[in-house]
Amino acid sequence: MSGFGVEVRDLTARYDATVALDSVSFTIRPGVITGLLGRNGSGKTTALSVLAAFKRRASGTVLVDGEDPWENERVLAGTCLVRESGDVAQDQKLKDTLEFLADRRPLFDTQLAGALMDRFELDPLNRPDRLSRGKRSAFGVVVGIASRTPLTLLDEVHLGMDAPSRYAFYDALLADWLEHPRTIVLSSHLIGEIERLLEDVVMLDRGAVLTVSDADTLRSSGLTVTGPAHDVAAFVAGREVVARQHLGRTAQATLVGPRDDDAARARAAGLELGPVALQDLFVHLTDRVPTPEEAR
Amino acid sequence: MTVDVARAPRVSSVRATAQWLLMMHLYLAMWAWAMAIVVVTLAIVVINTVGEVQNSVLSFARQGAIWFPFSVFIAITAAYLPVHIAAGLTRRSLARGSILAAIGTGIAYGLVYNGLLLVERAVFGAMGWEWRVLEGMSPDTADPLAIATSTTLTFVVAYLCGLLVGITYMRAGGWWGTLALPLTVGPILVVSVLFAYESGPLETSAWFGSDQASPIAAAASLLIIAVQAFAFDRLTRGVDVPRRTT
Repeated sequence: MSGFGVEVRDLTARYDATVALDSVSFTIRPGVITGLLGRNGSGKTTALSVLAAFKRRASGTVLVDGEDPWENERVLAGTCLVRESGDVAQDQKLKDTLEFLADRRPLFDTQLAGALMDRFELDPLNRPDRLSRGKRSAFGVVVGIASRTPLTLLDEVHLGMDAPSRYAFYDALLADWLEHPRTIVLSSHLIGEIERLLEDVVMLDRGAVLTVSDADTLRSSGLTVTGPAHDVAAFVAGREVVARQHLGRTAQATLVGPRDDDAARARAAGLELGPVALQDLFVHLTDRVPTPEEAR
Repeated sequence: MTVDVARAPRVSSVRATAQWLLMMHLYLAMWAWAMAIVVVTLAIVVINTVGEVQNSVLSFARQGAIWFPFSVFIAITAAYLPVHIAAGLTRRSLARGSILAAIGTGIAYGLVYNGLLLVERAVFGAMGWEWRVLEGMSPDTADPLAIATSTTLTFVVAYLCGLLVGITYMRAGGWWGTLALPLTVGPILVVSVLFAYESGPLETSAWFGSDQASPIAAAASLLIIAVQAFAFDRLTRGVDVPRRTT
């Protein structure tokens, strides 16, 4: 197992008077791809910013590979946070930025960067400020993957990328991770797309941790039931349904809180049981009526 | 996984930062001085055509050499911080690299400015024109060493002021950044006044004596540079990378 592990205990972070993270605690296992999920304003970017020492914490403990990342030369050299399209010089050619990073990032792979540039059809002589948003995001992806840092934090890096580019990103990330295992934290709203990559999940909501779990355990906290609509309705009667879909006479319902006799009941009723989609669980867990303050 | 045993960065982060910033400023300096040479040459030709050349024209570029890089240092401090931290480098290396770049840029501007003054002086001599410095805050001296010392130290102080203005706005925001301007920009005026001797508003030659005014001004400038460097280092080490607004 390789990569930096992360321990966060009672972390509080503020922007002036606004509390972005309120005493949150979670662990990120080394060498694992972890999804950091949460609605807008839940504190995902703040959490990643503290881990990468972009932002000071107000209180609490943050340990990356066992050490405080703030002004820690070794930990920072091994940590890469890419926010949206990356923090790169906007008026420099892409090739100059790659050279800049190759000189500074101990594990930067120039060949991989070149291959990814080709894959995303990025012109090395172009500049970030002349690229479309999708292309800028693709360059952020190049930087994030090619830096090959033991802790890679990718915060909404897909923004603006079209579907083929996003899938190329997921494939490239997974392929390189399999070859060079390291800790990767992915923050994204496109949970359905990244779900297959995630081994662990940290869910934040309104600056607090909602759940920390491995993805399989989280998925097993719910199930889908598919079959004739009236049989499905009977099966889920009185239970917590977080999503429903209908196609003609066929229906699918997503439940949370599976029971021991679910398999037997489903067999008897001729229904199919399946795993729950993280996206549905996420929507269920974070669904809430906004407070008057948020509504304003 | 330990990064430090995997592969060390190719160059020290302080050196890399200083080099990168210095190259950026020298690139801009090349353009600035190229334009200054054209403008000064044209001005001398025009003055010679319509009147009599009596004063150094290039010496008026001193203010430009103070304020142009000063403003660039403000902008680059804000723009480069996220790039530096995102590249996995510490604020410590950013502070030290920036200070070295400011000192290097000041020396470079001092060398170019004083080199051009010598060229201008030689041209004036060849043409039979009188050469003297009449720019408002410059001492009325013909000693090249005194001019080189005063201008180079003033440039270094000014560029460190640019760093301080930029980092203060980033740390403290608009109101406090503006209120702190007397502290962050003030050193330029202090050093200019000290080096102006009898030409300035305080007539430091009368205070310290004509023999002592120059060494005292130089020593005070070096002290100010040290304080500025310390303040910039402290302010930089605690700065947050600004939030993305895109």
